Amino acid sequence: MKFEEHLGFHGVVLRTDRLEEDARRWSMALGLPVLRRTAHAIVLGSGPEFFVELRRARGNESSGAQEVHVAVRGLRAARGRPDALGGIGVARTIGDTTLIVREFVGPCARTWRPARRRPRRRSGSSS
Amino acid sequence: MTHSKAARFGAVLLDLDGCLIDSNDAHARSWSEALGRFGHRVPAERLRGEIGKGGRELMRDFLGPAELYFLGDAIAGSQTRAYLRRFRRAVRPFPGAARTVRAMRRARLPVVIASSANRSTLQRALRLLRLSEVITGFTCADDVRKAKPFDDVFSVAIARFRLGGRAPVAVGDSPYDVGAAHQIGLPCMALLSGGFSRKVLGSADGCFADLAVLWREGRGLFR
Repeated sequence: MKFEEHLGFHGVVLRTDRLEEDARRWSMALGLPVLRRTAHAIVLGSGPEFFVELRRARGNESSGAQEVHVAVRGLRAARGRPDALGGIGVARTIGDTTLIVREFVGPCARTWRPARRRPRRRSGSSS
Repeated sequence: MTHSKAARFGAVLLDLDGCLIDSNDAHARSWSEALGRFGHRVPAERLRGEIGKGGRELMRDFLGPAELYFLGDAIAGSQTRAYLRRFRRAVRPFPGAARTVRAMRRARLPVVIASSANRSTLQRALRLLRLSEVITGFTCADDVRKAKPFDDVFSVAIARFRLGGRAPVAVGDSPYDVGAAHQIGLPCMALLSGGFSRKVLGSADGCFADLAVLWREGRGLFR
């Protein structure tokens, strides 16, 4: 896994047996809106650039981190089409967790975009 | 024409877009397209006044910090591709601009292109203008951490080409050129060819219709 620059953690997928309660607590703790919701998962965040996804634990699955997403620049091993988050990446399993190293290269799929994203504009910007 | 200083400038730090090529509208439309692909609907007309800033500085006004940090490169790459697709049909050299650069070089003035554009778009423009072998060199967004309106593009150009002792002057078309130059005490001549109004460019040390007019009417300003 070779890359030029490590940008930082941008997402995590957590398994939990208290989906709604944990989603509420994570949302309050980080001030993240609900991006997407299904019967088995709730994605919190403003887009692919920073998200927390909570997935309902099944059977005897234990709670904890299922995936950790790291953004980098200049990922050499990246091949193929961009994923739903708009990145090209590689995955590696470490213990019970999958590490996904991704370079963002294009726009994300519609499901990863807030329903009504509006342009930000700082006051006082010259033009 | 107005100019406040009768200096004798010995080197030129010349902006590209809006000075040598008529490209500011194409840049605005490309930014609008790229931002739109990432979910931000910003009309090109609204972006037009931002052209001249470095890409990251432009995006800062429209994106949140995390989005800028993680997705900034991808959005900028999308803008570059959109711009290069438009280049052939939408970008034209300003009449007399390349000829003026050649005249400056014949007058033994170092001419360094100092642009917030990235390297690929800058080199494409230089090929269009047939100036690659004429100019002294260039600095671009890839050479600096912060492009215009910060001074880095000019500072790096002065250091890299050893222009500090030659009384250099910046020539640009946007208020970001003027602001960047003045941050390091560099005089800046503004050109109206980029579409910015005389009022917006009011803090420049001189204002001319275009590069050819600057050279013709302001010849006495240069060594």
